[in-house]
Amino acid sequence: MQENLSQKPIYDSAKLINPFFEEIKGLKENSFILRRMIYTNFKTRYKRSYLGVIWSMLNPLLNMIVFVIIFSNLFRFDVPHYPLYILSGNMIFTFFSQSTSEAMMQIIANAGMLRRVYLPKTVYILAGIGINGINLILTFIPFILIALIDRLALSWTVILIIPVLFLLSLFVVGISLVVATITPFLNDFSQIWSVIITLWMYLTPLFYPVNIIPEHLIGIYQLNPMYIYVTLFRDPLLYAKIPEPSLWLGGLIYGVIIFAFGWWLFTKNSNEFAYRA
Amino acid sequence: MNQNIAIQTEDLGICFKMPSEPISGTKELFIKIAKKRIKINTFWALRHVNLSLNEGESIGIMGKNGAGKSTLLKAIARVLTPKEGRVYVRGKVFPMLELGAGFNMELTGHENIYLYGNILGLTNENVTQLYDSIVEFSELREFIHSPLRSYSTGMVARLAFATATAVQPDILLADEILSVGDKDFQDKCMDRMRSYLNNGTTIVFVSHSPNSVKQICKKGLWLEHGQVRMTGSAEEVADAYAAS
Repeated sequence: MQENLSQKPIYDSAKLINPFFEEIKGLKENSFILRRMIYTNFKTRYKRSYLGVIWSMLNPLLNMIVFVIIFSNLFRFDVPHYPLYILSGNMIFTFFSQSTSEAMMQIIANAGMLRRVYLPKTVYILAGIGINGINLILTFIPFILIALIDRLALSWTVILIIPVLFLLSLFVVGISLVVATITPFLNDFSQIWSVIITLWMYLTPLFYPVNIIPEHLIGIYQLNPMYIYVTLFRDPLLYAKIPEPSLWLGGLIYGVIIFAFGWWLFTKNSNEFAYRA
Repeated sequence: MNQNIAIQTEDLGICFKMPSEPISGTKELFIKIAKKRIKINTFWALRHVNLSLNEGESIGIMGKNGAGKSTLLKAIARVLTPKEGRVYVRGKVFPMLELGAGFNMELTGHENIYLYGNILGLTNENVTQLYDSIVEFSELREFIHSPLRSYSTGMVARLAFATATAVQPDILLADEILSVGDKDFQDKCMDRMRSYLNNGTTIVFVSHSPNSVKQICKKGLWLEHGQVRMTGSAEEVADAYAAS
């Protein structure tokens, strides 16, 4: 009996010291809820459309076709494997833009739950990102399809995209946590963010080659983290090339620092969400 | 800390900080910063609240709207963290949500039992064990694989109640649950709560109705403007509250 008592979970507000680590602990204990919420999101997302999950694959494909038609005829960019160049760039950027714009609405969308039950708040954000991660993986199916048609020769360097996707995820989670912290305090931040995303998209080599950037601007241009991740992803996947060390270093620094900053900012403020949302 | 304590608050204070005028957008924020017009008002929803409840005890919390009853429950449930003082809770806390609050209308009844169970802190294995009794109790076996949006309100309420009460919690937080549903449903709630009490669950029960407090609880707490107006046995406090 005595043993049974000591097993009961204890919540003592006086012992909550550091929200940064408190959140990690809470997330570990509640990982089954995170899995459930990702599953729920995935199930409900396409429930009311006929093609359902096929849209996840069709969408990037249709996008790619539009870009190929416009840019290979109008602007005549000379990029090897141009359709795959576009598709791969879009896969990375869509994961980033969708995750962040969905994550920022999670706190408001889940206000009802947030006010009633205690859950580590990162669960809501990660559930929003998780489904986009699944989407990203699904877009490899149309990618492989186009790669076969385009006779892309894959080399062993393909395995390098695994660490790249890991670093990218750190970065995406970090940015998502930052924007998700701002939104409950500033309602129209989502409008501002969509403008930022559009600008960011044009500053990232998604459909044009990097060599069109003027020489004197290239140094600044290459500071863009999305430039780094897109290039880190394409080099081994499309061109059988091991990315330069400076790119790896950049991707690592952005990933780790943004993730730590986002986690810190979010957990520092997450107790306020129940008052705000 | 005493071995038998289930819930204890020491000088608990919860405050809401609100700008004197609402700021809804970025434009307004910048304008107001420029004009230095933002004043933050602090509103204490709860202050200097001391409460101590042993395991297996039940307390009824009474007070007018806005007296801080729900805020107190939220502080115990860890939804709101104290700005002052301390909250100590030992045991698994089970909030009786407004019925159906954790449900997703697009999912089937079957999936919703798992979703709701997970939200309440049960693992998938726990839910699987309880699954049959939940379906049995809700009397919805034929419809369990249809999406929830095809259910009637009464069916949703039954499923929610069956899932929420399938397991005996250490601590139950019940907020005005008796004010919803028909007579049958209210009786079912009362029965469940009594059987919980007999089996050692600690209950914090919020209600407007002094009579239901007297029926269920041993202790009473009367909140007024976020402060404790009176504590004592449920009888005493409920009578005093009813007389006021």
